Amino acid sequence: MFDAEALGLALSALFTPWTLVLLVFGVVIGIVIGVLPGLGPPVALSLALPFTFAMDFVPSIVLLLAIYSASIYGGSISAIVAKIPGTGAAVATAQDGNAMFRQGRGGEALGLSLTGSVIGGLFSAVVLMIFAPLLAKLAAQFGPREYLAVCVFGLAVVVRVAGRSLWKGLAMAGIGLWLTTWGIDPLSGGERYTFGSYNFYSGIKLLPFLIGIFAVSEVFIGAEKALTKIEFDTSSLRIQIPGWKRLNELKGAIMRSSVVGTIIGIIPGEGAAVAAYYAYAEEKRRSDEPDAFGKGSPIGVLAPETANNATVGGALLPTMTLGVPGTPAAAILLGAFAINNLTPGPKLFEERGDIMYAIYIGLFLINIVMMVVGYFAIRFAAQIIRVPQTIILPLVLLLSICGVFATTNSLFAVATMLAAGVFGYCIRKLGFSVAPLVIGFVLGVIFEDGFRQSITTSQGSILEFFNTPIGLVIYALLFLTLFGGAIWKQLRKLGGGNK
Amino acid sequence: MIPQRIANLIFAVIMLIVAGYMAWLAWSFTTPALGGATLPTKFFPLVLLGFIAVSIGIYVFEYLTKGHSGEDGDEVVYAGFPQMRRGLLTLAVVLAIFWFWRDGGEMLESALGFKFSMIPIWGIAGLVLAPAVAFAMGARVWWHYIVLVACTLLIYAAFAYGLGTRFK
Repeated sequence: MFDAEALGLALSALFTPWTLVLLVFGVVIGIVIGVLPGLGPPVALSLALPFTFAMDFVPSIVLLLAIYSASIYGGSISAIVAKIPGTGAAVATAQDGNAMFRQGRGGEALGLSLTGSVIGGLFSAVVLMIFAPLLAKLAAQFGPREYLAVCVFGLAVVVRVAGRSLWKGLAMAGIGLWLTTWGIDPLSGGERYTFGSYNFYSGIKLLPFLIGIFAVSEVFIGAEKALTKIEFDTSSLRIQIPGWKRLNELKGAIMRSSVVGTIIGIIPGEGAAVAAYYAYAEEKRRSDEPDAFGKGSPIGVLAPETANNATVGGALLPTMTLGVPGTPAAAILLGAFAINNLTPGPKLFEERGDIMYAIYIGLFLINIVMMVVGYFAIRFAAQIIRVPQTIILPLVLLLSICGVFATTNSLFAVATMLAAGVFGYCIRKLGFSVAPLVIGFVLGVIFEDGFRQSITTSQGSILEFFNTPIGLVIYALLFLTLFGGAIWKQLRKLGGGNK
Repeated sequence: MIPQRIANLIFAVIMLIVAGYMAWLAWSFTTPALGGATLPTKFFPLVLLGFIAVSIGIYVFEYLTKGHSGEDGDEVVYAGFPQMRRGLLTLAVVLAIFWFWRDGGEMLESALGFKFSMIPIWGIAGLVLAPAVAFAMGARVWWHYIVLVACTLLIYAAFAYGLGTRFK
């Protein structure tokens, strides 16, 4: 399993001045974008993606992973300082974090969020390093039916957890899948929705679509409340990193939240926000003083922040081994693989072990750098919340347009991005979740290929789809994920009734 | 402003019309001879459009019978008129500037009978974009515009000289 040559290649690609500069830059930019309300990891990653076109893979993935990790952490700063979560993942932190800040314990809250984020990130990197090769080995046995099962699993779970309406989620997943049928049919060569334009031959491009859905729609949404002013007291911004003794007292909460975050990160669709909430609720349930939560409990800051950063390594597990992204942010990371003509999956583990090692080691370095940058830059980062949205949002739009044009040299791609932005704005305003749309769009090609190849090899029999042990396990897991809770409830009810 | 129920029903009708049109288009997709061994080219788009239509149909049914789909019955699309104005005006400004960049600039040149020789059309669109969007968002502080123009020039320099982008 261990490949010294690949490790050497990874180290030589990582420890170049350019890659290290990008790593630090990624952490800084990630924290800045995470701090800004509304601009979470997907927006940060989609804005950065065009800049990676001119880079080799290792520097580009290091930059993107640094932005991904740091933007999740950055969201906690505005949550603590101004009770405005920079990202969805920091919503759970806002209550206790801001309560501590108002009590003059802002430094302690900021220190706990930084330390928790770093420990959660490191823990998930270790899990990724151990389990990714094992899952890749299993995935090597996957055929079209198994990949179809994985896609069905991913989509169903995303739809189940994203948004409040199941049917709205299903409609969005369907639209995401359907949009990938545009262009030349890869299996038969037939034209589909090309409208007589060569621009559509290769279908709707991933990059303009993602930037439109995340960044451009966020500009329109943000425009509505762009004049809101944010003020906070700057006297409590001196960060206090918890010492060994304090960490020892909190080790139970740290371990539990790291495990929760990593596992939830692996499950498609769940993501950092759900992990943070789950960890918060779990620690509150276990606490001797549950009433202290929401009023300035240090564990109320530490648990969600540890869990939300632990989702990074977790989300990378299915993304790297199966090519199935669990979260919108992971879907954008897949874009970085596609730009470099790399297909995540078991083959990549066999042929490009250096890339995998670079990602593992890169994640470790990112978290260590995040600790240092976070420590020194927190005071400055918190001030960024005050930059008016009327400056930030137009620049996000300008960067989006320039980024798409720079990578495609096509006004058609810019038009695609704007169309995706307008569509994203409409559906977000109408209460749809964009996660099923994006995951559907990313999985569409694998889904259709898996379905059509499966039906061809099974000579039209749908039952043959289930004639695979791995596929059956995946479908059983899906069934348990969707209906396990309800069945368990019914069983407990029956058990209670018998008593 | 604008109840979610009404807005979602209008959106659903539009989506169903679009899905019907796209299904009609898909019906005419042909499978070339080399693809004979697989399912027809039109199969997947048609199945997915059917799936989308059924999903939309069910959530429309929920809105009509229960008044909500996902407990959004009491919610509105916009918090108030100023929010709606800022959001939609920003959208309109972005689309107008893009149109100017793509077609409108040349159309204007031919209508006026002269060329924008000092700055090309994309340059005008690029310079105007950020300040115009800020104006649509309600920015009325002069230094915001100065910062935006300065940042626009920096972004242009980063792309043109850093990444070698040739705007046109």
